[in-house]
Amino acid sequence: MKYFVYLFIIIAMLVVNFGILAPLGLAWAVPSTLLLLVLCIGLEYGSLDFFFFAVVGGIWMDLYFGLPIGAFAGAYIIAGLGGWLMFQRLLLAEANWKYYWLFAFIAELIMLIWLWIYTNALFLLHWSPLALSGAEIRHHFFALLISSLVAAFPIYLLVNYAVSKSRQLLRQPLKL
Amino acid sequence: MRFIYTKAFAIFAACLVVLAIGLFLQVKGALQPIEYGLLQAPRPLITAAKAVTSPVKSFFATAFAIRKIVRENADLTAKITDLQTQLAGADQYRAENAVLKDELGFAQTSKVPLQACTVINGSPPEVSDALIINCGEGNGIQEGQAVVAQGHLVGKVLHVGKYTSTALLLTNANSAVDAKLSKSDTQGVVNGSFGSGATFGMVSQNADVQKGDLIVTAGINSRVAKNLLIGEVGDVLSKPNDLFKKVSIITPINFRDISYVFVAKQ
Repeated sequence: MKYFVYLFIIIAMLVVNFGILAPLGLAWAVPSTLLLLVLCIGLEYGSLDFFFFAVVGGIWMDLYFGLPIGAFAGAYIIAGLGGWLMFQRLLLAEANWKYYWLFAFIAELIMLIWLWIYTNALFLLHWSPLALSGAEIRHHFFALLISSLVAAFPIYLLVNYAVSKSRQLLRQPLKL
Repeated sequence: MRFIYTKAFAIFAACLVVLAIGLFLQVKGALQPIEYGLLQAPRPLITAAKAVTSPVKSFFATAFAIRKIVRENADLTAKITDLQTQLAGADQYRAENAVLKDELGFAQTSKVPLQACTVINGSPPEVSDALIINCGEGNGIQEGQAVVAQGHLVGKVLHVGKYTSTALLLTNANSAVDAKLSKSDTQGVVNGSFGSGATFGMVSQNADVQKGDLIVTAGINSRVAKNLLIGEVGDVLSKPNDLFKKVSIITPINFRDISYVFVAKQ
């Protein structure tokens, strides 16, 4: 049952991304809502369920942008795992939210670098007809970064709200 | 416990395997039905959200663009004014060009030396039915010389200044030019008739004067060249028992709208 809730959350994020933020003319400045969601779950709740969001949401994003599978999904997995390891290994459990922006910044950076390396590597191997241009990524880097940092805490609040509502709806404690 | 022995690593590895399989299937083109399904699944919701956000975006975009639109409107208004001015200038040049072409045709066929002049003032306050032209003593203009426009005699030089001259039009009541019918050499005098045109009078009652006959200068006055076209005979104005015959003159010249003239330097 909880995976249906997760699916609903992923679809809601896609709708926010492509139905609200993109049509508002933000173009490349659309924040990486799914990345923030994955990061938030790994970092705030220390739950391994972030893998589900990373793989399913990432594949959805890959298909939506016509990129090879793993472009977004791989970046989400790496960022989520990083956040989860931080949660496990470092003594940040009580103060994660204070470092949330820093993690969001690093995760965005990792995602862009991964996108460039992954798509270009597959392009060179002739496995993908599409590769993201480094100049294009550099050109939009600050707009993407700022939009993601601005959206970081709204997403954080949204995730908390969704988790509490899910718990009420399912009438059983979720791992989240 | 080392990371590779944890549940997280197992899931991580499983995810990588899933992605690798997905990539392989995508490269082979086996994922197309699933891709289509996944892309279409959230589309109704995205379309519904777009239906809400697009008007909002349009509203704010319009609100933000108003200042720009106002500025563009002011620029365009200024540009329209400028273009209208240019258009008016072009119209004037076109009209001048047409007149000059007519004048040029006459100037090329004339045997009399001509001085081209521009009309500075078409209605000087001190003399009615007169022109002030931009030719004077320096151009060899002398009093009494014929003034021609579009191949027709329009008046005579009344006064010559250093740089300008005043020409009395044929329509002036004080104007008198010796003339004749070109076909029969019947002589007479062309007089102005108080702004309503010119008449050809002092013609013998016995003379054969027909409507449409051409009236030209007679050349009695040494300053006015011979055979300059004045106009053609119109209606007969005199009565049979008058001493002389008098007819109106039809001319294509609009005496109120003369821009360029030639002075025949006889």
